[in-house]
Amino acid sequence: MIEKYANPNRFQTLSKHLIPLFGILSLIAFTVGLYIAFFASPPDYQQKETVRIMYIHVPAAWMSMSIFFWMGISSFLVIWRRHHLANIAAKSMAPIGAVLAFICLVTGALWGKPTWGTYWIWDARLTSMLLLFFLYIGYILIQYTTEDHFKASKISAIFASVGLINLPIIKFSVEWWNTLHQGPSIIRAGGPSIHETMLWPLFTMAFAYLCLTVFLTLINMRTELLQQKIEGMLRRKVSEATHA
Amino acid sequence: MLEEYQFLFIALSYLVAFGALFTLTAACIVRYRKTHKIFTHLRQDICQNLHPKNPI
Repeated sequence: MIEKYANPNRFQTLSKHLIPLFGILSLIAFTVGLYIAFFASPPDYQQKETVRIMYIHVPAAWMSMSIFFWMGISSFLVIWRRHHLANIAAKSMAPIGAVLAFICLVTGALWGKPTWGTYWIWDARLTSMLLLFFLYIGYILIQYTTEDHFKASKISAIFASVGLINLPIIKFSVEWWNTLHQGPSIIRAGGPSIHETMLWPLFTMAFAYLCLTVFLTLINMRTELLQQKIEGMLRRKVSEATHA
Repeated sequence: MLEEYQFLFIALSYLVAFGALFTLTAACIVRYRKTHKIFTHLRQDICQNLHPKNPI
């Protein structure tokens, strides 16, 4: 199945239809999500209105972690099968994941000040999330600064695979260590501890983030494929000119 | 005291988040369009200069 859909030509045809679909879906989901977040969901009894920061902070955290997970899976395919499109997928996802990790960190700090009384504290959850942001930066630097594409794909794939270790640390940091950051409130034994009036805007915004991520990943993948075609054309032109 | 400023924190958070998302989306689309333009130009150039022997 991987071979069937990982063909660059098949991908180009498929992505042509999927890009507008995910673009429209993300626009609709963001509009609906923002409306529910601001007008249909109530303020929290303790945090009051600041709870509304959750609707952009939590989905950003989920997506930045999910993106790194998929980058890790793609990287395994690069190492194991030397899959060309898997490398392009991981490379295309990295800047999106970095921006989402950045959003998560900044909105978290802006939520932390009125809630905890501080923008930042070096607790396990915040530090491991910051590490994820640096892992993204490291990955991007390897991919875009190494001149040899083959070498860049190999090194960055190993880097992303090793970086996967950070994901369970982020997830379980609030259980393994005593942190200022709250414990799990959605995926936990006994079900979510958030009221459904706050869960719906959260899930709608998460869906919007997901659609935007797919939309941007597909665009970036098409750009990377085009860039490689351009490089091929230019190489051919140069070799033709030198052989003439 | 911070309760009085809660709307400022909300506004700042949404501004940062949507500012970053908008910039990222715009950058990705502009990069794609530029790359596509170069690709089309090069392809046209190659197709126009078809020749059994290289004329250079």
